[in-house]
Amino acid sequence: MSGSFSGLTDALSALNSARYGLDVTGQNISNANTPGYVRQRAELAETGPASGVPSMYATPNSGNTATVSGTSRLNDPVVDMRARSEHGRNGYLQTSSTTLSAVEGLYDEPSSNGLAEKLNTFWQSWAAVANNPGDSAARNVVLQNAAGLAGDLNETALSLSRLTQGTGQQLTDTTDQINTAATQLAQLNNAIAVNAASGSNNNSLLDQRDTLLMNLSDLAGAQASIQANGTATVTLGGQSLVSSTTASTVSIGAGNVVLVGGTPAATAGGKLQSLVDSLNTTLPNYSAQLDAVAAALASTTNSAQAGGYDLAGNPGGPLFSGTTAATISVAVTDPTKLAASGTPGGNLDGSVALAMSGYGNLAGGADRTYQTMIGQLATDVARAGQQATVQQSVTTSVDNLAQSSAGVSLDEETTNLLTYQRAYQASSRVLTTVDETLDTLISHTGRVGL
Amino acid sequence: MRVTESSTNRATLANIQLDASRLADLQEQMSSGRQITKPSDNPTGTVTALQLRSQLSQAKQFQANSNDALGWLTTVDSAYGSISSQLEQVRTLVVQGMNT
Repeated sequence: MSGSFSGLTDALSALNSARYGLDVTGQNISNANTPGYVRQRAELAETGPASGVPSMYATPNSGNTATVSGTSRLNDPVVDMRARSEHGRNGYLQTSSTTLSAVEGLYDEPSSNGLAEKLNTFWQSWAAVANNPGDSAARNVVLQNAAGLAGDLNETALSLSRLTQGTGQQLTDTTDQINTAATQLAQLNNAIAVNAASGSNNNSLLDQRDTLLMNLSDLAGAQASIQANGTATVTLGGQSLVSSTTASTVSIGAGNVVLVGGTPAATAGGKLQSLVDSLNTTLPNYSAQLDAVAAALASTTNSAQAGGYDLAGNPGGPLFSGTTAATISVAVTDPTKLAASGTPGGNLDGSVALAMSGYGNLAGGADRTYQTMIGQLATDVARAGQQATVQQSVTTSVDNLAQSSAGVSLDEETTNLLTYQRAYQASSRVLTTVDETLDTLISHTGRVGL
Repeated sequence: MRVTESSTNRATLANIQLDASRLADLQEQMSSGRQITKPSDNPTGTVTALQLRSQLSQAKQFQANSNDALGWLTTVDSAYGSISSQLEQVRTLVVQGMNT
């Protein structure tokens, strides 16, 4: 048998619980579109009998009212961890695909403006010289086409080096972003640890923590583990990035090696690794291949020229100087110095020019080298694009899975709102009823005969 | 699986993005009139296209060369014709001279 007044406190506790439920529901609704917000739930529990009360005063049936026992954060830590690792992979593949597409953008192929067409025109103009070795107009066309070709190679090499510079800049920016996020996470860890020790609600800090961890996964493919008190420990390529309240600094060492706190880190993933790989492998590879095209052009042309004789009958000199795409240029300015004749003596033979007009099909020549390069670039870009698309859809599906437990459903929240509202109304009713009962007891009993 | 407004939203946006990118590809193909607008559209096709373009340019040059040769042959032919008619005239004049 409970005491007369316990009904009042029970009703008050129920009112408070219902109001707290309304608060949490309101918070969920207002953050329905906040990125990184994980929905929360007011956990209600029955109150047990008060402890420490001697049994003679205890009222076993009293006090079983609702009270707030906590606020749960309804995410799925396992899915979150999977989402982080998929995001790391996604960051790597998306950035690789973007970098390769940028390289591809430098070559306007197949079209009538690309380097391949310039090469075709150059070899063709030799045929005109072969047809008419004495014509200085035909010889001039060869020189102009050669200059155009060299200019195109220079321009492409310059664009490639600018792309490399841009990628280096991106790497610096990414490192800065990682360092900022790591520092924030260390500070957040401190706040979470303090809150956890004092038993305060730190759900919003945990939301921030998860957002930072996801950010670090995208940027660097960092591995995170969550400690019992809610703080996060992050490693990058086997090296500790954030541990409790200390964050190590990520920097880029010589040879584009990722250093965490000064120690070289193993291959991790994310945007960072992709940029490092681009700078170390992809871009130098395509730069070397373009140089090979320039070298093949210079060597085949120059050796053919060396075996021929110019209009005056002298042995031909090299047409191109320089053997890299950045340095190749036309060395001949006088059109009569082009070696078209295969025999000495200043005659109108055109055999060397004729042979050169067919160099477009020469095995190991500039055209074949260029075609191989474009073929490889095309395959690389297409493969990277496909991988990025597949990874994107995997990442999206894992994100959706995470959202399915953490996302706010407005329908659910509206229903909860109604539930809590009705609970509040009913509790108020209980309060009124208890009050009226007491009123009856206090004011209207024992008045018989008055 | 629990479905929320935001997950529906995300799925819709992702699909719209995919469609938009496909649409952009098709529009690029239509407006340029080319099926391969960049090498990665079709890697093997690109290499074939480059080789064909090279062969085409050679074929064009062969055509130009043969036209040039035809021109030369016409010139030579008319020169020979003129030589032969002049020889005939010489012969006629010689015969006339011997008859007088």
